[in-house]
Amino acid sequence: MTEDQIREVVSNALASLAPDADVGSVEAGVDFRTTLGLDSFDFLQLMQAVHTATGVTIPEDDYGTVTSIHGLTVYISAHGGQATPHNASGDH
Amino acid sequence: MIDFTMPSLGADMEDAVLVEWKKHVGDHVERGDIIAEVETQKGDIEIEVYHTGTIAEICVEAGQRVPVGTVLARIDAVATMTDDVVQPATAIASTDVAPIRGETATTESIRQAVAAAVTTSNREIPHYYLATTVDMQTSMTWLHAHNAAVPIELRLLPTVLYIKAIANALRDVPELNATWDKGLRQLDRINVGVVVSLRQVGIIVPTINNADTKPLNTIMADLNDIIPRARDLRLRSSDIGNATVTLTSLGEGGVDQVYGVIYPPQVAVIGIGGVQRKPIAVNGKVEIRPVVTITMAGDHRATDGLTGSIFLSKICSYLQQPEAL
Repeated sequence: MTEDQIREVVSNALASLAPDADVGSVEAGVDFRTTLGLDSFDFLQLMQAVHTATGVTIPEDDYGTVTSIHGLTVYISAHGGQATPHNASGDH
Repeated sequence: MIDFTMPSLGADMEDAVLVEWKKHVGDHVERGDIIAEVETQKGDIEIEVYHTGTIAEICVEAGQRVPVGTVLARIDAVATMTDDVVQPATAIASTDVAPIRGETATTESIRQAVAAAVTTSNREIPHYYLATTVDMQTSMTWLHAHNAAVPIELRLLPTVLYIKAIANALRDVPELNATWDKGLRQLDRINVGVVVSLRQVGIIVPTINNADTKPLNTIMADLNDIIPRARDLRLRSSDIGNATVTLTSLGEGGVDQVYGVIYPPQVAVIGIGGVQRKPIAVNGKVEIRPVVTITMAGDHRATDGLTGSIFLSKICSYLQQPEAL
């Protein structure tokens, strides 16, 4: 996946979790949980949406590095995100 | 013949508008089928039927606003199954609920519904408050290992452990799984209402029904189902209005502890703060461990602090054995 494709996946996932917010205005480097008011339930939904859209499974130990749009995008890119919605086996 | 009536979807609900019939005269209905949609202050709610049979008569036309308890339809039931769903006493429903305006729930109507419920609560319920701090090391270690071993869609949140621990503790202390309406009435089912924040709009409290009988995976699946629907204001009658106790957890904002307001006619509300790493004494030594503060507000007409204290200590001990939950 290209950086732009990954960024779009992340933006769409965030937009569906915070429909009233303007995800486009969230700075790439800030913690989006605070900016968008996401709780741990939303965050887990985000991890599942990322998995479904890219095949990348993010372990809980890595949660700390994926709380910004930039961090999450880099992570998906580094772990070989594939734009295949049916890739359910993860990146292992 | 069974009368199908407008259900009470919370002590603060007096009436609702029947928006649409999903079934019609002559239709066969199964227990759990959605029979109609009604408009309440908490949004449009799909009403389920608790009997299997044939609809013999429709008594209220779509578009009409009718009080709780009004006969909506008559069902020729083939097999009557009783269901002791809690119907909160409408007698204590607040009379200062603002009328609904517009087609569906608005920010204002949800705020008004919350305002009415908490006003009634603070006016009528003498609360007592208790708190305890729980060492979460065993639970968090277990949860972490579990989540590392299962596919991502089966990961659990700490809330699931709290819900199950509360449900088990209520089985041990049934006085708190009850309603108060001029007297204590213990309830057979344990339905845990979970406060869901609608962010700026207010709160809504969908229910994990029969939580004491459900494995953790089922409770998580229930949350995955109801939280998004709660936020979209697309709840069904079985999701709402039948809680026997309420859990509010505000850990996300980083607060240590939260003291709730009891949702009448329930007699207890449990508040769980965020998991924080703090120094505590373990076997005579100071260690940094994940801890959480669990609070309870109890209705002092119904129970005394000793009962609440036993209940909190039961929750703590269940959280020390997560594998048994």
